[in-house]
Amino acid sequence: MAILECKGLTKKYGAKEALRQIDLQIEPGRIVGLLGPNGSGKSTLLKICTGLLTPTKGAAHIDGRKPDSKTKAIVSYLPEVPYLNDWMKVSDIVAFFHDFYSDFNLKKALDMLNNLSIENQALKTLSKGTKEKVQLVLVMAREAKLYLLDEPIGGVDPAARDYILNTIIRNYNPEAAVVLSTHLITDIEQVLDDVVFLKDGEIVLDCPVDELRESKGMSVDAYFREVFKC
Amino acid sequence: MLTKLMKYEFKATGHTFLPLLAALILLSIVNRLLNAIGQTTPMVISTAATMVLIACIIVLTLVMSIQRFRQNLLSNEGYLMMTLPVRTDNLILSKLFVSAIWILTNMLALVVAVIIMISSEYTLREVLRIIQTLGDLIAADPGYFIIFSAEVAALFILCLFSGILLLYLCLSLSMLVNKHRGLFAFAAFFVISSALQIAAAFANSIATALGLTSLIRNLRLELWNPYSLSQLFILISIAAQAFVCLLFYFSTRYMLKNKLNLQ
Repeated sequence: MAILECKGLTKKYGAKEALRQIDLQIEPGRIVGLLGPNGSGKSTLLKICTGLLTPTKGAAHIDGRKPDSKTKAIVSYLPEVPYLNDWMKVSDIVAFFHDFYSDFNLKKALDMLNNLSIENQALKTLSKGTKEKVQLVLVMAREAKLYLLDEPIGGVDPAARDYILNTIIRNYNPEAAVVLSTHLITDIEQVLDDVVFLKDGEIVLDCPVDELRESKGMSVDAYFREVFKC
Repeated sequence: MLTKLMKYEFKATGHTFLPLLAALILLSIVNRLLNAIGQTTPMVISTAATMVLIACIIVLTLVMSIQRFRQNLLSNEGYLMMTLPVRTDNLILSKLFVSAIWILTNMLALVVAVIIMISSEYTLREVLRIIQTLGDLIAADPGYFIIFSAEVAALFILCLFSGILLLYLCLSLSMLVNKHRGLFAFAAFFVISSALQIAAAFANSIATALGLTSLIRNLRLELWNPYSLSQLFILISIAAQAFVCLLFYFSTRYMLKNKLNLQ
């Protein structure tokens, strides 16, 4: 059964349609790139799957359920904005995740923080990039069934970017699926199984990466540039 | 999950309130000692400082109730809180309970501070006398006293809850607009509180028109002693406050579940 299924998903902000009739199925064990230019509806789609937004029409189902507190327990979501509290230290937010998520792997989180040389400072004193790394560690240290990562590598340096991508691959679990949205395609192309192209709120392409390379005879990045040429 | 959420809510607010409350108690003791020694100038200074601190605590209690809800649930931190595997009810209730507990704690601390500052042989004797009178009253009819104090406590708690929930509702309604949310929440507060007053006046005039008020007034005293009249009044107030609390609570819950619009 698909871990994530969207049927006729439509989201309107006032008169503007951010998503139009999205039909999408994501199977366990796949790493899916959700690609599209700014404002194409990537974040909106992920927010609906996490329950942060309610669709205007249609529905998203996680493991057969509409988003609720039960689906939130199996979805690990990384938003594109920093959400860390000002009053906590790194160890406090780790304890917070450990408290609320039963699938949180404490050892894994501490190892990853250690590898990225993140010390136990107050969160408000961390740099923007370090905050992003902390959030990513927290999200990837969960043993979730579905990872929804919104621009996971946008603000971090290339060295950390490699570490993060390796973390995503290393965490590969045949039961879990990863959906990651980005426009830095070259960096992530090697980890993707499938790509979904979003344009003006509609899916214009949904296929395995190998198939795309074979049929179009070009990389995902090159094809993306062709489809979204300004 | 509610207790876990409350634990973190206490942690987030405690490091602001606890030092302030400790300072207040300490300052009131210093005040009392200076008074006992009879040093006028230092006493004036420390009394002024205590008054400023009391004002700070009162303002901060209100600001904190608003800020914890707005910042933790409706701004960036909302991305963390609203995706936790907890029910929306628990998110609202944890904020409501912790906010109410701080308001009560801070009120209690203010009372204690005032008692420390004005304590003298005379005031202590007076307080003992009041307690004794109260004890006599309770002894005369303990059953009534228990019911009455439970009702007053319930009414007080409900009023506290409806006040906090009104703030939450106004903040949640501000998600309907994308700009000037603070202003919108402020306007919503005035509109809703005025609407409630108009509704109360309306209910009152309907009751008068239907003759209910005169009915109560004209009832014979043998049937309606002062006790049962005050009972009727308190019970109606409790029911009205409970209704308002539920209205605010479910409207806020609807907004958070269906109209979430994080900035």
